[in-house]
Amino acid sequence: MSPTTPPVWLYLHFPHLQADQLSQQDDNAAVAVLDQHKRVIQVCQQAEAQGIQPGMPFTTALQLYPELQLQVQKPQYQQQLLIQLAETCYQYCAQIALAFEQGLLVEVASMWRLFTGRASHWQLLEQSLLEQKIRFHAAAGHTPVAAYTLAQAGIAMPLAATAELQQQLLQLPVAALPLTLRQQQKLTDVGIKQLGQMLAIPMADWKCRFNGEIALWLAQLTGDQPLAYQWFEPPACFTRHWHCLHEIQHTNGLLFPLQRILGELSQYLRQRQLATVSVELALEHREHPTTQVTLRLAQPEHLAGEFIQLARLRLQSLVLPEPVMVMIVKAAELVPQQQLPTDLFANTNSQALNAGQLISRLQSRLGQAQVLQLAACPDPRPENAYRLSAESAPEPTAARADHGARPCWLLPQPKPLPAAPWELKTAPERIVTGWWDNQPIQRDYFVAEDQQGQQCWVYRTPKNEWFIHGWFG
Amino acid sequence: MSLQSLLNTGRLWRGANQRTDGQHTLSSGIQALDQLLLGGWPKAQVSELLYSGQGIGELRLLLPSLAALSQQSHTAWINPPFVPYPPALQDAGLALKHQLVVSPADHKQALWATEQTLKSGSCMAVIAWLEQQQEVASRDIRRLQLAAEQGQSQLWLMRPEQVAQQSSPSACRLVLTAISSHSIHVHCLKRRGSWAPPPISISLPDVSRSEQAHWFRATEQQCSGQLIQGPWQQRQSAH
Repeated sequence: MSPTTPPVWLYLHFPHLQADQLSQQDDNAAVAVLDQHKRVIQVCQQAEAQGIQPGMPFTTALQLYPELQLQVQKPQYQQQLLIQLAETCYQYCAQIALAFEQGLLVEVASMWRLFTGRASHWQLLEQSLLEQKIRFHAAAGHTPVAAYTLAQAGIAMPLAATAELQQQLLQLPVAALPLTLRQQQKLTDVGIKQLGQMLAIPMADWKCRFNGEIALWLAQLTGDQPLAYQWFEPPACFTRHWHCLHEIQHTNGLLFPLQRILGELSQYLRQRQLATVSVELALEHREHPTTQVTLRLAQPEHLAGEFIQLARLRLQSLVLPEPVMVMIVKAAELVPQQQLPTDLFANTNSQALNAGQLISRLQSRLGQAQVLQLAACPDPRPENAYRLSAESAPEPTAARADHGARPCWLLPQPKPLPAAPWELKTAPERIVTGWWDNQPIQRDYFVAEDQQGQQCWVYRTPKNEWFIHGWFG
Repeated sequence: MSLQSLLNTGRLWRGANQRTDGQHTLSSGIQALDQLLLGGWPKAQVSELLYSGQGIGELRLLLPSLAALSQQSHTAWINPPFVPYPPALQDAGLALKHQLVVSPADHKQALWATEQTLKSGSCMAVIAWLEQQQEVASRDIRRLQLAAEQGQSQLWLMRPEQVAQQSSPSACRLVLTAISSHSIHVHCLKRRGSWAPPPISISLPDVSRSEQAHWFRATEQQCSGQLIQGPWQQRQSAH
């Protein structure tokens, strides 16, 4: 396509966005979404099959099907869902705008060349949307508002030519236009029945006769006045909001939706060749402050199986203070994927893990403080010469200290030497140090042996007090 | 059916067939111990060390094998009674970056952690003290044995001396008793491939005469060999 090709817009309308999403994530329950006046505005397919239709009062809906789940419309949640859908469309469309409440505006003409034609592009886009299991219909248009108006009116014409669309547009009755009831009434009062009649009236007359809003809308429809919108940019981190239909009381109940979300995370990471070192779960309750759970990995991961395994171990030990209403899964610390070299023949162990995966797994079940790595520190005080930390420390570059015998076992705290006979086996090793940070020590260390032949490391202070500090295991 | 055909099909085998080929054993780095165990620690198996107290040389017996295994893969210390002290481990040649200290809260978790580390294949050596709270059941040892085989890892199970009378599916069982600072009494209760031999004593690197301590030699006469005894408040002990 040459750059002069006029843009063609596609509006993807999701009339039952919230109801469809809630229904499919909860085992295809029948869900209806209510507006502020408690009238049904969205119904899922299962509810529709029971005869529930938009516009009904909720009492009628409940009479028709007592097991119906009722939910209030949440514009913010719908917006989050639209962002997820936009991410799906982003594989096939570069320019996506979230200009409308219940749909996505997509510019398609620029993509036809890449996807070898209009029909094959639409086929791919449609396929990826069908997998989301949210009902939609799409209409094309030469301006965003034209596409929106057609789709809103329930007309599905994603592949029609401009002339055909124009034809369809002109025939739209006033009642199907996205105008307020008052504006529609005014137009009917002056005898206008179709959009075609409106376009025949010069723009100056519109401004004169009616207030500016209809004139502005008409100008946007014809393309004289551009619509203000922002292009969608895929977020730099992975976030998923999951709203429960029923409050979840046990962590096992969280595992099922979590598995699905972590699968999506894995797909997200694979598409971008990224890996993550931590996944954060926020569990929102009715009253209690949000519970935060972090799945921390010892090394970057991108495989769903590994996340699920960790999540299962972590959730096992979690006690919920209150039932969960909303779960938010977030992976913010993303790093490029690195493929570790693996041997095709050597590894025959099907459950083999590398050290990082093993450490993550142990840490998520036992707690981070229970799985520690050893490191030596260049400090002459014996109790400061080592460090136990949850993360692997870099190898100290300092040369090994030239010291006397050191025991394999160090007591966490020196203990007073029990009153039994001890035989000293070596000359004293005097350690006088630590003047720089107010923890000075002055000790004479000996290797001593007790009557059972156990070797230990003892020291004497200047006050002639004896302590045991280690065992030669 | 002749005896030879039974032998050929592997349904009957000779007790005297000592496998010292190194394929099924891991050298302990101590010659006397290798001889006792017919070539070394049984590879990818559970070995039990039974002892009471501490500081009798129970780790010095393992340090050469640990030093060799820790170069390539991790070593897991599960529920160690004290802190494995890095300067001493470094002196013995262990790679410190590969040491993992795991302290599970209870017996069940300790067993789980041991099994996971063995199965993972990324910890070639696992040393576990599992008997802080309750005894390890025979079926648990069997399970750990399978995990060790699966991950081709080595497990040393450190157990109290009292369990010597109980049977155990471990491949090798040694009872350790201290003799002196440079030797240890080793009684092999069970080993793969032969009857249990009579107890022997094995000499270990002497802690009080390590190479690093050479500058103490001059003054050694003054202090070593001296007996001290508490209570320390009343008596002036070390002159």
